[in-house]
Formats: sequence, structure tokens, C-alpha cells
Amino acid sequence: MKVDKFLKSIEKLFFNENHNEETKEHIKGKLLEKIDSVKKELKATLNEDEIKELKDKLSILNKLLKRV
Amino acid sequence: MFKRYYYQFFILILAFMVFYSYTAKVIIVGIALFLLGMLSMKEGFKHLSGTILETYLQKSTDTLPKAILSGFLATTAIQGSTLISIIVISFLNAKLMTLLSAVGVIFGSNIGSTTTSWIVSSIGLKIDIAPYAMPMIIFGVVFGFSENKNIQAIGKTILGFGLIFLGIDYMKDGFESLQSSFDLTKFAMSGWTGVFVYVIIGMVVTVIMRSSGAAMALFITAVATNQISFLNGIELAIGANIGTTTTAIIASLNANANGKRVAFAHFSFNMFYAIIAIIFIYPFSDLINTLASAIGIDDNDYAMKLALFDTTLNIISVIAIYPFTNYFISYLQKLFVNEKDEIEKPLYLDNIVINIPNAAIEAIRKEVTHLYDNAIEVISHSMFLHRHDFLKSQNIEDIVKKSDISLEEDINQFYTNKIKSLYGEIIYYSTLSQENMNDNDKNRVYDLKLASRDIVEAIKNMRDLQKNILYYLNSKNSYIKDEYNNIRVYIAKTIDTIEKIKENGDDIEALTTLELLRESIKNLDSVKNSKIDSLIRENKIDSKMATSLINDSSFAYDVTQKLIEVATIVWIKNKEIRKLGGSDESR
Repeated sequence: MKVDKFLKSIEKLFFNENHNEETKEHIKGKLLEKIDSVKKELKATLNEDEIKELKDKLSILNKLLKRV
Repeated sequence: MFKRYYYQFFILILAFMVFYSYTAKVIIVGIALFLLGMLSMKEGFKHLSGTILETYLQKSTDTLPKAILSGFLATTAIQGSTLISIIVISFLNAKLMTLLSAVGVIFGSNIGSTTTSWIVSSIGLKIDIAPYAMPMIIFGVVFGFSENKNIQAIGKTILGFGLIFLGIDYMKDGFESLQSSFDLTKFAMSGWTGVFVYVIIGMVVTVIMRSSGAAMALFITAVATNQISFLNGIELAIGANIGTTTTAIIASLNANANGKRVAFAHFSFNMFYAIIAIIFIYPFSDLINTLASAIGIDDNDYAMKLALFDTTLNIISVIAIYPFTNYFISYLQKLFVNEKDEIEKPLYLDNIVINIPNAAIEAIRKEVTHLYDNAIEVISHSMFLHRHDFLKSQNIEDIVKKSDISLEEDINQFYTNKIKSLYGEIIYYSTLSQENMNDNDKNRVYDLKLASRDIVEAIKNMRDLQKNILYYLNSKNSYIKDEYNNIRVYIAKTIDTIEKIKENGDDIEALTTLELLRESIKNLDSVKNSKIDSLIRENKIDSKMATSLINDSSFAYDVTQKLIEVATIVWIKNKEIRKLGGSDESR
């Protein structure tokens, strides 16, 4: 496990491209997490203003996900 | 006269020594290699440590003991106290560190810088290190040819170590050969005359070398080869501790109050060290002999004893000054105060940190934030609002409607005093800082320059908008009045949302909020919405009002878009997340 971590940090140091890919995957993961949480909130709410707000937020998050 | 020609005079003496004496040449080559090694190692560490060192220093200095320990560890790791002082000043300017923590780091850094003496006296003089130096130099140079900046930095660090080891070896050889031809011990001085003369020599040598580490390496090698007595070696070490503060003092002459406070703290601490060392030189010398025996240092190993003296006295000085640190801080704060001026001066653009990419970028980012805060003040006043009234308010619409439109602000005066000069300073400093940066860092600074330009353009747009806001808010036509209030509400909401972004640590959440804001602001552009058409058709506003409204809503739209751009650049820290922002048209 520690060896893996060490090798990964060496890879990061010497090959920035892999590091960039890793960052993109990390951002995608975070965006998907946010999308899931907004969807859950959307299911739970009945207030119309809140529903509109959450839908707008969802559309922005999906737009950002496409841009990654 | 002397000041004017001292450099030429120094070169002449150096040339004479190099050509006249083979031994002097070997010692001087050793010093030159040692200095070159330290320079190369510092460059390498500077790149490699990058944000790690800065993050460590920022997060582990909240109490005085932690700050002292961090200063010690960081200086030991990078073998140089100058870079630590520079980072500390940049953190003080950026308000990421308190003055108490900064002084603590400086205290710790003084103890940490004595580890060079231990390396020289233990590894450098006891082991034949020249054979290890050669491969280090070879691989250091080979790595230096790499296109990858990280490998280049590793190369510089290895090369630095190699040159330092080789330098020590040359110095050792030089002193050993000197021993057989010339006896320096004849010049040994005892008593207070010796103290005075050798402290001055130690100081002058350190000032010339601009490195206490290199000076201590020279003194330790001279002591190890019995060219000078242990007591005179102690006196030289005291001189080196005073001499090392001159670089910081000179650099702080043009620095702001924080730079001066740190430099003065460093100077005062080392002077305190020197004074107690000189007063108690004989008892301390006995103490070091006792301590050395207790920890197993050989009686005749004067090189290690000198290293022990340097470390012990620094620790004693820290312990002695520790209870008075708070008084010392208050004194420093009173002694150096930033000048207040009509023309706003930069708060964070310190020339001391301009050559350290990460510190310089943070300084520029903080200064752009300063420019933004000034701009928000002028933008709010130009639409007859006070920031503290509408920021974090639940009902901005009500505040806008009830606002007092008699609030007078001369935008031109404000622009000249608080924006124009600051903007100029940011552009000038940013351009100079880019010289030492890699492409990534250059791009970041370029973006920050764009953000500054957007701030200035937003104010210029507000200048055009202000007259009509005042004119139509006094109008009897309630429709046009409502439309101009609507413009003010949109701008105020944009400022309020951005203010919340500043405190948000989640980049994705911040970007989502900014993108939502960008979408909602689209309604502001009257040309794009049908509201203005109905106002004209229903004769609620005349043609002059319509033209003004079309122009002004476009100005207001530009202001909000620019502020959103600024927020994206300045407050979203992750570069990849930052890139995701922006309108579809701009991509």
C-alpha cells in the first residue's frame, strides 16, 4: 500500500499528464456527488420556488459535468 | 570614496590572494563552490517545496511553541533561513500568519540554521565526502538538462549538495596545506581584544559571503584543522550571527511595515544572542566543554564543539526571550506602522517575495482582492447604497427602495485615489514577477491581471451609469424609477453573492453559484427581454427614457459579468474547476 502511494507520487512528480487526468476524474466524481445530492433534495421538497432553484442548479451542474 | 570603490578594491585583494598563494586559492575555491552549492540547492528546494512548505508553515504556526518548532524544521529541511524569512513576510502581508507566529518562526529558524554547522562538522569533516560529491554533480547536471521542471529542480538540489561537499573538501585541503606552510595560530588573540577583533572578522566575512552557513563552514574547517583556537572560533560564530542579519535589514529598507518588523525581530534576536554570548563567553565556553563531554563529543573535536556552541546558545537565547515575546511584538507593532496616504498603496505587493512564484502569486491575488474591495465600495456608492446595508441582507429589494439617494460620491476622485494607482502597481509587479515563473504560473498571473482590468472596466461602466441612476431615481415616472431600482438590485445581489463565494471553501459549490448568478443576470439586459417593449408600447416610458434604459441595462449587465469573471479568477482556487466556468458564448 505504502509502495503504491510512493510510486503514485513519483508518477505525479515526473508525469504531469497523468496527474491532470487524475484531477479531471476527481472533479467529475465531485460533480456527480453534487448532482446526486441535488436530485435527492429535489425529491424531498414540495416548495415550488425551491424546486425551481434546485432544477436550475441541477442544469448548471450537468453543464459543468459536460465541460470536464 | 571607499563606498564607491570598495567592490573594485575587494576584487583586487581577491585576485592578489588567488594568484599569489596556492593555498589561499584552494580555500577560496572551496568557499566559492560551497556558496554556489547553497545557491543551487536553494533554487532546487524553492521549486520542489513550492506549496508544500508554504502550506506547512501556514497551518502549523498558530501558537508560539509550534511556530518555533516549524521554523526550526523548515530551515533544517531547506538549509537556508532567508527563504523562510521571505515566506513569513509574505504570509504576514497576506494576513495568513500573525506577527507572534512570524517572530516564532524566525526564532526557530535561527536554531534550524545551525544544523549546517552540524553537517559540516560531522559528515563534512569526518568522512571523505569528495568521492560522493562527484556522482552528485554528474547526475545533478544531467537532471538539469531535463525539460521537466520537477526533474530540473531535483537536479539543482543534488548538484547543490555535490558542490557543497566538494567545497568543504577543498576548504579542508586548503587549511591542511596552510598548516604545513603558515601558522595562523600565531594570530590567536585572547582576552577582550580577541573577542572584539574576532567578532568583527566573523561579521565582515559573513557580510561578504552573504551566508552565515558558508561562513560557519569556513570557521569550523579552520577550527578543525587547528588554524584558529576554539575560543576565537566561538567569537567568529558570534560575529557570523550578527553579520547574517544585514541581508534582511538591507532588503527590508524598501519593504512595508511587516517586512521591517520581521527583519528587526531577526536583528534584535541575533544581537541579543551576541550580547549574552560576549558577556558570558568564558562561562559558556566551559559549559560547552562540559556538555560536549556529556554527549560524547571528543575533547579535541573543536569543530563539533563549535556547532554545539552555536546551537546551544541559540536555544538559550530563545528560552531567555520567550517570556517577553508579547511585549516585543507590541513594541514592533508600534515601531513600524504602514503610512496612511490619500493615494491607496498596495498592501501585499512586497518586493522581497517577487522572486518566489507561489508567494508572489498569493501576494498578487490578495492585492486584486484589495482592489476588488475598493471597487465594491465605489460601485455601491455610485448607485447610492452602503455595502454594509445590503451585504448578507435577506431583502435587498427593500433596502434599495428605501435607500437615501442624496449620498454623494465623487467617482473620479475615488478612482484616482483608490483604484488607478493600485491597478498600476498590480500590473507593474505582476509583469516583473512573471520573469521567474514557469508557464503555468505565468498564466495564473496573466489571469489575475485580466481580473484587475475587469475591475477597472466595471468601475468605468458604473461611472457612465451613475448620472442616469441619480436622474431617474428623482423622476416622477414610477415605471422608469422601478427599472433603475431593478438595475441596482441586480448589481447589489451580484456583489452580495460574490461576497458569500469569498468565504466558501468548496470550489464546485462556488462555481455553481457563480454560474447560476450568470444565468439570472441575463434577464438584466433589457434588449434581450421583452419588458422594455411593453413599457414603450403601453406609453409608460418615453423614447429618451427607453434609450437610456437600453444603454444603462447593457452597462449594468457588463458590470455584473465582469464582477463574476473576477470572482471566478480570484476565489476559485482549483485551476481545473476554474476553467469550467464562463458563458457558453465566451467558450
